Amino acid sequence: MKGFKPEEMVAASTLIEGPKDIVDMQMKQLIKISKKYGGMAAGRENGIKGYQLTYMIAYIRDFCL
Amino acid sequence: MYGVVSGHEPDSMEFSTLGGWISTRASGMKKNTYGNIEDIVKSITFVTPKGTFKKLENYWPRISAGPDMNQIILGHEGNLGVITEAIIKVRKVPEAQEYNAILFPNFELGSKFMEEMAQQKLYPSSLRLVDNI
Repeated sequence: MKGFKPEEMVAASTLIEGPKDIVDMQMKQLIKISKKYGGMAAGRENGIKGYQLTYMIAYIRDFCL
Repeated sequence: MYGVVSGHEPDSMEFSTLGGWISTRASGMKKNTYGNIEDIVKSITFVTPKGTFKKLENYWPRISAGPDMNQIILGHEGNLGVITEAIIKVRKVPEAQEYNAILFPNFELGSKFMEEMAQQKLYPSSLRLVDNI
């Protein structure tokens, strides 16, 4: 990807819940701010993957205990 | 079935319990919208060797008089007694739920973004920054 080094890039995963118009407004504002810092939205599917990973981490942690 | 959610979603959600969340003063991923467990729990029945504690059955939002004894139970991690019953707040299932992932060139820029989100008091239900390792 242009301008993104795989070993340096990071991701912010987000979830917004609430009434539809407020959710849309918050997401728009979030993307606007992210652009100031070189952010690039990778879409809904990647956001969902980020959260699935979180639940998986819980199982790994439980196994380690 | 009832069209409501607690909104409390700790990482361990699939194998943890309500009593455990209270005992460990748990936080959930969507706490910006729904609150941490101390904001969600209303009443706790707590059995100790000296007797059973239960705060008065009150359903008002808060009370100014005296310390909140629920705060002693929250985070006790099993040292003081056993939680046998609790009442928690629920909310209607949200109308909309939007996920996204934003890529940043490096961690510094990502954390600057997080800082600005916090400064502007724009709190999505959940917002987390992770590196690529």
